[in-house]
Amino acid sequence: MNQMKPVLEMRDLSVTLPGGLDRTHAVEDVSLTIRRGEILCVVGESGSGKSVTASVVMGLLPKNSLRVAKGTVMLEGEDITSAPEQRMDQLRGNRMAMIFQEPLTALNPVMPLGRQIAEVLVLHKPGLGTAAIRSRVLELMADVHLPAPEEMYHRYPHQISGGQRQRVMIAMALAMEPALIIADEPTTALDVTTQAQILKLFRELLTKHDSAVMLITHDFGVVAEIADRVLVMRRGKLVESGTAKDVLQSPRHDYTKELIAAVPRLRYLPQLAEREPVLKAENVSLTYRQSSWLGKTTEVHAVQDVSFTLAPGETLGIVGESGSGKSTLARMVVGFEKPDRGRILFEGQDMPGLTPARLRQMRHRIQMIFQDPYSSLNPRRRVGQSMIEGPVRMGKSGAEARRRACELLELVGLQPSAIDRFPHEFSGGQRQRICIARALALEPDVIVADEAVSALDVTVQAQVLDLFEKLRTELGFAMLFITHDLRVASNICNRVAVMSKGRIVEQGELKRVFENPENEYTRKLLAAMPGVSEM
Amino acid sequence: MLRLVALRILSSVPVMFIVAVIVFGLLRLSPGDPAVILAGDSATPEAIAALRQQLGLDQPLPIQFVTWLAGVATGDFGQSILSRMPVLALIFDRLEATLVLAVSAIIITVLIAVPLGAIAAWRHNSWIDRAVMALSVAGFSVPAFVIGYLLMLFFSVKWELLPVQGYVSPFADPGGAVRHLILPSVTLALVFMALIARVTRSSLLEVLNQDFVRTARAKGNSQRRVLWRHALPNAAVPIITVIGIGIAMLISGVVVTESVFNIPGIGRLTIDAILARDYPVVQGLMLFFALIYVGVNLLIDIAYIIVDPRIRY
Amino acid sequence: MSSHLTNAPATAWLGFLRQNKLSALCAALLLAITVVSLAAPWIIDAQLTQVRPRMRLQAPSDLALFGTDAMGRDVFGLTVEGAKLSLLVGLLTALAGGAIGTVIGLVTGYFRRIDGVIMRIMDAIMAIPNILFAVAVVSLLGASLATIVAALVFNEIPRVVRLVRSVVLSTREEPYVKAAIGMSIQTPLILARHILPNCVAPLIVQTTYIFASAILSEAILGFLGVGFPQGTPTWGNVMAEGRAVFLRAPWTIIAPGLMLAVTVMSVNLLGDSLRDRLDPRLTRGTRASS
Repeated sequence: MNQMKPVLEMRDLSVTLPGGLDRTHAVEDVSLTIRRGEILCVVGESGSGKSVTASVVMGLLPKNSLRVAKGTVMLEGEDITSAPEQRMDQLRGNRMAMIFQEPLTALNPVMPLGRQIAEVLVLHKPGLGTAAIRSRVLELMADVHLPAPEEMYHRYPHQISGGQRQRVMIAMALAMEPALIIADEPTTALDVTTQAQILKLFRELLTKHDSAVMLITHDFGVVAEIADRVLVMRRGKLVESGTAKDVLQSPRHDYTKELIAAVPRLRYLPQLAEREPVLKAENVSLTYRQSSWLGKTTEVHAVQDVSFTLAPGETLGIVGESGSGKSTLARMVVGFEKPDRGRILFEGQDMPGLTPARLRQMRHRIQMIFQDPYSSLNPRRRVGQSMIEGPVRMGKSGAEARRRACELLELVGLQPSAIDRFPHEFSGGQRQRICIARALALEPDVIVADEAVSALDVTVQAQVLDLFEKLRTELGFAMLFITHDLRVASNICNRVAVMSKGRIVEQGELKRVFENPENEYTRKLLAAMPGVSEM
Repeated sequence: MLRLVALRILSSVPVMFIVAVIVFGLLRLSPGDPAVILAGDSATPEAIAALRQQLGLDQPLPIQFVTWLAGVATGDFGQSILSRMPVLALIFDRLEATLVLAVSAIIITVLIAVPLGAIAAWRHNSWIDRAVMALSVAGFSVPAFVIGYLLMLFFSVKWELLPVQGYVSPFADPGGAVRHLILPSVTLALVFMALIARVTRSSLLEVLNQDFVRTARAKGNSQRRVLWRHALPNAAVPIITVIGIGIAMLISGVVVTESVFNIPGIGRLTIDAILARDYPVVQGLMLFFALIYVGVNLLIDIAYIIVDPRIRY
Repeated sequence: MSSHLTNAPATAWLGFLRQNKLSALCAALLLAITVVSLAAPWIIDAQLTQVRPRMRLQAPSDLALFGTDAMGRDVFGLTVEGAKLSLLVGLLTALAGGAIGTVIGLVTGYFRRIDGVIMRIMDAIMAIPNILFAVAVVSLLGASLATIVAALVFNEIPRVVRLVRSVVLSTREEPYVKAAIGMSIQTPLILARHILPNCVAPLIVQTTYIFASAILSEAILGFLGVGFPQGTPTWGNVMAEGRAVFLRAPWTIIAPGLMLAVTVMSVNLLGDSLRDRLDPRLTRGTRASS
């Protein structure tokens, strides 16, 4: 095997941004090399320029905003920096392929899956007959372990699961056995167990097809799992590079250290002493019935027979993958949905059973914090207006509510002057702090945090988790913390409940559940956690 | 599938019922007694009363409505007060000219507007894009009858290339029919073209920004192939939707165009009936037009199922 | 994005016009047409628009800019006098249609129980051809500003309702609305503070389109002979009177037609650039049409 000739060689690449932004270059002086059979992970947070670098290689930069200022890109020895579009069309999908983050939107929604894979062959092997193309597509589908390829051939993207869609994308990328595969956050949109399977598939197929892979990720867990070499980027510049082992075990640059440190490690908080619970769910169930026009009713058992208790000052983690029913449970606790059966008792009163008037007096004592900090605040209202709205409704005077809002903003680590600014003036992490302050303004007894740190970069994630911890000890509220990320859960919860298919399959003290899981599904979930053992 | 269609048809029944209520109510709540108007200035009170009874106008409104609706449901739209002809027969008499006009306008529109919109989207912000957009705004802004008269002035009067007005059935004289149809169908198509070209452009622009277009490029598709093979099928749903909404526009356009070019279609029939206060004919025509609108949109809903596999009822 | 224009005061609008030469031109044109139409009694010599048998069907010249009609009246004078009523119809229809449609849209979007019924009614109104409905209403109830505007408003309501409803449906799922519900904020306040502001931008755009389409509709009504009573100067009536003599004196239709087209086009272009600026999602598909 010719290990010496690099598949991709990039020299001093710079890409300019349009004027008026906080920096002039999206990518500055980046050089990298990838060899056959090698996985290079490019790591960085949002805005680090990692995706732009990938777009340059594929020749898919948005033309009117970004421009290559200098540098060369060589693919298998050929300079493609300013190759004509026609040549790039020949290379794309053929010698280099790309896999994208969101497999649902990355596939053509109105074209059958088989035809989408076949298109690569139609484009690059014009001589191939219909039957030959079809059998090659089926072979590829089998390679990426798609179930029932014959049937899958005629299905559409919306009819299969996220993991299956990403397998289709991989099959598409492998169709021509390209020298280089670029994968841009290929597992970020997937559940952990699916992520583990897809990463395994990467390794397996790589050895089979002998391609080189450039994998873009923000997650050092993924790096630990799969990388041969690592390249760390920050604000368009290359910060550090080396073998995966070196970078993970002895990072030289401060930023790399910070990134690695920010990856949530397992950490076990103690279970609190038994106390009278403030919130109690008893055999709660919710079934969505969708009756189509055909009179056929499809039932989705979103939540089934769920019971838990939450003591004052305690944090209970609800972990599960997408579709497990954890968010539906959260919405029922805050009263956005009513359970079909069972009771949700807040201080002994059944919340869903209350009259609307009574509910209005109670519900502010359970506050919710949402996943997306960008849509959680009304963009047209000042931070102060959003924060005092609730307390004023509860009878506080405007001046009093405003004074308290300033205090709370300070408490969550912001300037009190933030009160007169608009949400768009803040970063995602800062907005999440504002949302927390807004919830606290109502002096809630229970906070329901639904994936509250999932949309944040890892370093910011760690800061917000610390904030939650600090506030809980200071103010003593109880928290229901919903997350898909076991590592995050382990950093904030006293107890944890694992949900799967609408049911709580296991719950108990964090350490016990993580170290001696009794349930099969919990074990699977724990095993799929990326990079925990290596780091 | 059949059952699906049947259910979809069933769901337009309430809409048609409300249309019937509006149409009926509108004509009955208007001031002026149709019997008085019909009987003429010199009629005696007895003659008017007799006429009123004959037309059923002496019954309470709800009863009149039910009687009328029952008739309509069985295909009896009543009789014209003026010509004593059954309304449905009147409509079918005049339908050919209108259908021929409308269908040729739709054909012209789809053949010209969709490619124009696609090219404008593909060459976004180029002079072609600007030209298409400018023409489309103009199409929205100039009244159809002004355009009709302008076309007539140049093509028929100044250059004497085409006949001025009138209608020739394509079943009688195909050549003459085409010559007579060119100006009216272009007049009718202009607003429709403006609409379709715009929607084609905007929905394509939206689709071209989606992730799967990037995937298609990453597979090695040329830009042109991405546009026709990937983007256009995905932009089809909004385009088809607007064709459905545009049918209402087309119907209004038919009325004006038939007036300008003196074509004996149902558009002209409607105006004549309204001006003559021929209630049964007006009611029948309005229901008929609404039925066409609802029917076309029904067909479009069914077309969605074919075009977009994500849509399933 | 959209918050820039809707929240900010007049300076932002001026900035918008300065950046956007075409919009500035359109706005200037509309302003000029409005001023001229209001000042018509002082600009146009009343003599010119009287019946003058000796001046019949004069071609456009220095004496009569747009020529004269079959009764010897100056077409330019009639066009200027007619602008007022035509613009008024457009303005009233846009305001009333926008307001009524917004209220119905807010209610039907937020209170899901009545949604089905209201939307079926809207479907039914949309199924009746606009022009025919207007012609029927106006000819049956008698032509006046009130009946014409009422008929046109009725036609426009469904589109406004659909637009507002779609904004309400998407906004009510926003976490910040959920948060407000979770804080027990009263429903009218939620609608006013958190939901209505999102409707403003698309509504501004939509009302400009209604304005344009109402002016066109008035002209069509006049042309079909069921608009304002004969003799009332409006663009539609001027053109309707030109029908009989069109082949001999095409300026009787073309001149006022072009005035109308320039006005409507200015409004449409202004609407388009507002849309691009305020709400890129909105397309012509939801636009009113005649």
